[in-house]
Amino acid sequence: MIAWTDTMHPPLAGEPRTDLADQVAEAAMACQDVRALTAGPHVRIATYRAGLPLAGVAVRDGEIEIGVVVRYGRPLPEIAEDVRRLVAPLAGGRKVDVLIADLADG
Amino acid sequence: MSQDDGPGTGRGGTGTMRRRGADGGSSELVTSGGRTKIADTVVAKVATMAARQVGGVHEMGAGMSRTIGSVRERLPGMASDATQGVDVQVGERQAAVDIDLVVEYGLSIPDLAGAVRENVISEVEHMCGLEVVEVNITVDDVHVAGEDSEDSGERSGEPRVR
Repeated sequence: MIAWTDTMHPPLAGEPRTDLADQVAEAAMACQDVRALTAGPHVRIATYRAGLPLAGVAVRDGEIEIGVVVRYGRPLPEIAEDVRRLVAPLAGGRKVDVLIADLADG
Repeated sequence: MSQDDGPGTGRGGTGTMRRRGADGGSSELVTSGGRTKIADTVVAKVATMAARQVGGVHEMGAGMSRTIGSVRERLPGMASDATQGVDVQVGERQAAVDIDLVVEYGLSIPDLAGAVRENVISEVEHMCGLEVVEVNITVDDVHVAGEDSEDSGERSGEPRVR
């Protein structure tokens, strides 16, 4: 299995998109109901870069896609709106797509 | 208001639209800020947790899936199936749920099934925003306390052979 990581790496010089992905990951994890980031069921949501891929965030031209594992308790569209609100300042006009891929156990 | 103005024929609240995710396996809510996709497994997990919350539900799953589930739990590294006994079918804005239950003996099964149905409907509608159109409940077995103890009591403490 590939080792996925959702910890932050220090930004490498001159790679703006990777840096943005790390910032988006940090912003999304700041939401209390988000337990973890995930690449999704088809392993599509990831940022490839030097070192281990960052699972759960994909910065594309028109959109930012985020895959999350959430805590049980709040309505899911509300959690997604929270994540969207936290990430929107970083998005630079891109729309923010949120995939709620799983519920955290317990 | 026409009868068709429910959660909307493909339209959610103002400015939103509901559809199936392009990848399959999720339902999508499109808002002005972006799309929110909810994977079908999440809907299944919400329904499973809602059914388990009702007191009197002993276990989920029909005979074969419970057997396989107990084998899976014993294998190292395999997590038990979080959605055992629950199948969901998710459309653009609606969901249908099929549940297999084992209930405790001594309770009114129709009342318990009704309670499970109501809890599943309210939890899935509240958490996922999908309209639940039907919940089919099958009670496969009844758990009688003391029935599944392994020592039937006929074996004495001493081994019969040396």
